[in-house]
Amino acid sequence: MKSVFGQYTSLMRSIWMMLVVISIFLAAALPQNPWCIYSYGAFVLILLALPLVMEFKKKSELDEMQTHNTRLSSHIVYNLTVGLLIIIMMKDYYSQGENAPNQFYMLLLTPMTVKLLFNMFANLPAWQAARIITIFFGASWTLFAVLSHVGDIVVVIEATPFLLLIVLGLMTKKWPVICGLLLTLLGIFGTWFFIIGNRFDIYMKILMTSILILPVLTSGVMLLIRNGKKL
Amino acid sequence: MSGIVYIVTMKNEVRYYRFMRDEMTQQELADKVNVTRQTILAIEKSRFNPSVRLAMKIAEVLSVSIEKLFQLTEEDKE
Repeated sequence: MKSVFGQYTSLMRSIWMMLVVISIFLAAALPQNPWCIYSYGAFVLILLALPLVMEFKKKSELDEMQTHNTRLSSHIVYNLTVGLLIIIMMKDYYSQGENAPNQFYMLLLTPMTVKLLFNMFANLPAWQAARIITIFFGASWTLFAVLSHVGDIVVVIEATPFLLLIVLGLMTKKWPVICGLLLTLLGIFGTWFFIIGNRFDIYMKILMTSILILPVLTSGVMLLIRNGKKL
Repeated sequence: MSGIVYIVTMKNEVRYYRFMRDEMTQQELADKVNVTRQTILAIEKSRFNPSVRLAMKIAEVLSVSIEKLFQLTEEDKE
């Protein structure tokens, strides 16, 4: 039975590899039609996501050491990617004297935030994870708002939601449900304000989602679902 | 604070008990516990600590108690 399963896995892996190769060749021959480009993008995304989906399946063909090694290699690759991005951004800054474009910040900060949120909620009780996340992000954004408008009255308006976030973070243990509800509402408001009602480019929207909305919304939803229990 | 750091490591007797069971090969043991031969090799060389589930499966296949198969050792390093 094991060998049949092994052969099946091997066949599937070969087909997947073949599809990856085909997709690379397809890219060169792609017509400049938006529908073709979007369809191709969706196809590539699904194709690349398949191994990840298989990994999370209960009956994975990988044994535990192989799984451990796969995750270790992903961790190394992640850190390498972050390192390379920082080098590129710094190099460009010194050579051109300008901040890196939004897509670089998006590539750098989105995976970082997702990793932080995952680790926090996987290892800590929800109230504690939500407290650390909301205070950390709230304090960062408050500092950003203050530094952006030093001596201007607008700083009070801009920093108020972030200060509210810090206050909510401090109360997550005492009133997890109320804080969860308020954080979720704040997250929904943030989605409307920064994503739906704003004209940022797609990279900026993804960046805003990951560093502004995702931490707040995740904290709120996790507080409501777990209500102080561990994940 | 004496400056001595205790490092707890795990040693195992998988290789010994494998040979005690009619010189069972790594591949045979790997097949019985549903892992690759490389995983058994890594466990024997103490490069990889198995999960409790896998350790129990190995102990069951080798007909030995888990305490005899895996032991914690404490090393002190200045």
